[in-house]
Amino acid sequence: MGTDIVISGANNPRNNFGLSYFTSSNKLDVKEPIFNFNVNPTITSLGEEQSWMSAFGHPEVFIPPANANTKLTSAIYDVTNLTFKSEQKPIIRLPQNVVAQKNPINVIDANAVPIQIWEGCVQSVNIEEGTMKASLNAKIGVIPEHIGTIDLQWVPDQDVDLVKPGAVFYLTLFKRVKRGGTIENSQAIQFRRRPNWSKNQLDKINERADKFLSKIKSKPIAD
Amino acid sequence: MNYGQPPADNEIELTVFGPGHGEAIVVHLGEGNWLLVDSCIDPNNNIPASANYLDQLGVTPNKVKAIVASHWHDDHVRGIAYLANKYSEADFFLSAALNNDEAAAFVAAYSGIDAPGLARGTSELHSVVDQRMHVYDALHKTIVHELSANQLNVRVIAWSPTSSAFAQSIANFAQYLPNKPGQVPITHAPEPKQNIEAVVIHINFGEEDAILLGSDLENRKIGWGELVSNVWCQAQKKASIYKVAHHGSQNGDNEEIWTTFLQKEKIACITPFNRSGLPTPSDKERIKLRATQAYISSGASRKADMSRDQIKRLGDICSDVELADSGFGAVRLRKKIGSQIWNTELFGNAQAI
Repeated sequence: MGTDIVISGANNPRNNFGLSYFTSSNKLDVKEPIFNFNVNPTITSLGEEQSWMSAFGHPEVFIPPANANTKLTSAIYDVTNLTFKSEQKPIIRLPQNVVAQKNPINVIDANAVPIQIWEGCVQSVNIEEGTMKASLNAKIGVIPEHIGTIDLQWVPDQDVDLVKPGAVFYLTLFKRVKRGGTIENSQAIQFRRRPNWSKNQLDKINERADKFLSKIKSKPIAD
Repeated sequence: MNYGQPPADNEIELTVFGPGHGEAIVVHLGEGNWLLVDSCIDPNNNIPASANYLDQLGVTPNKVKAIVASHWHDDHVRGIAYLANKYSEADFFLSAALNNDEAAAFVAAYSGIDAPGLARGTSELHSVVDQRMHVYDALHKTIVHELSANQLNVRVIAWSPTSSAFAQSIANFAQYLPNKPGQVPITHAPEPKQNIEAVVIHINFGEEDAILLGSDLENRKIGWGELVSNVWCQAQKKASIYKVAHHGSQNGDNEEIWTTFLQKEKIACITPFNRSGLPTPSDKERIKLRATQAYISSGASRKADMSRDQIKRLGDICSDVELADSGFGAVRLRKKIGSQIWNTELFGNAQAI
């Protein structure tokens, strides 16, 4: 028997959730919790108004809003539906034999072995389909450049505003050895941020720009 | 790849190279004189395709008369700084859209010196200008090169960018200018959009023939829309060969290009841009209908090339994974002065469409 945990999608002001914390699929099978959060068996249920993840110190992470007709205890939950707001407080049944863990699973630690790091560059973003097309260059081994389509749901919340053509990100695929020796696959996407130009850099840019312009000449124009 | 013998003095030639990401063009203007437009890297040896080609043919550097960087996108300028250095006697042209304060600041900011991750083709162009005493801007009707060869007056003229494209592009560059400290930083490389500043080149071989190189110019009101209604352009000699604009895309096409600027019998050459899936199957069909013959520089399989494990893992979160390049290839068209027939040769993964 699992532990009943009450969650409240309606309490989430953004109806948003941290997809970067999911491990392998955008279909969340609530029977097989693939969250990075394992549940402390001492917790049996949460208060009505308390969101599930916030109970574990991750107020920024929320369970997706529920479809009123969905029985979450047995259904595959479609987390691609970002718009639906549920008033229902669904119940997720989780196994008892798991241990609480606060760190998100995509944090690379001593137990995580990177198997490939792809440096990606966003080529185009399809808002309607919720995908981005990206070029992918392997950082490990000699692999030619590839192109692929990545669902935007894999992009961490904090990086969503960076998803634009030309943006550079790193897609790290790694294996994690779990307690007990089980190996699981995981991945993380992180977009590259950069500091703003410093005054010194701006001065040098202006110098280079002046030099650039001074070298451009014109040829005659045809009749 | 063995390119064989150089063209005879009385042969004109257009060769288009492309690996699937990038393009380069060489044109034999006659009597051993050459024009280079854009640059891409030959993956077989990692040197610019044009330089490798001319070296194989035994062309001495002083026979390259002009180099044109049609625009700053990295799929058109990879290795062009190498060309500018190797062919130091050639005049170097870049789009006049870069000849203004905003564009200069743009190129300087994205030169790769301060923010390497944000640099694209801008770093190549900055390097070219840095190494040269001067370069030239190409604007509508700029004479890129003029010579007399085979008793023909050969003129290489830029058709674009037009003045209105020039003005519009300033606004495009301005949005990527570095912010001052304290303002929101620019976190992504400049987006290659609204390609209105690309340099279209028309090569007039006098009474003999003409070639039109469409670069990446798009079909907007400013762009092809402006050129097809331009009386001066309409009066130029119709071309029998067209390097199709913008990798054959719908938004780089305008039916009037084919009817106004090209001869009845015309050969189309395309380079793919696999990152955007260009040309699409429908693009190819459209071009086949419009051209007498059509060729693409690169058309091999793009099946993912990595271990099965890697594909499986990547496939967990990434779909439609395929190679960026579709194999390097070149399309070469040669014609003897006085002949009506272009002789076509395909190298590497080039294909007829």
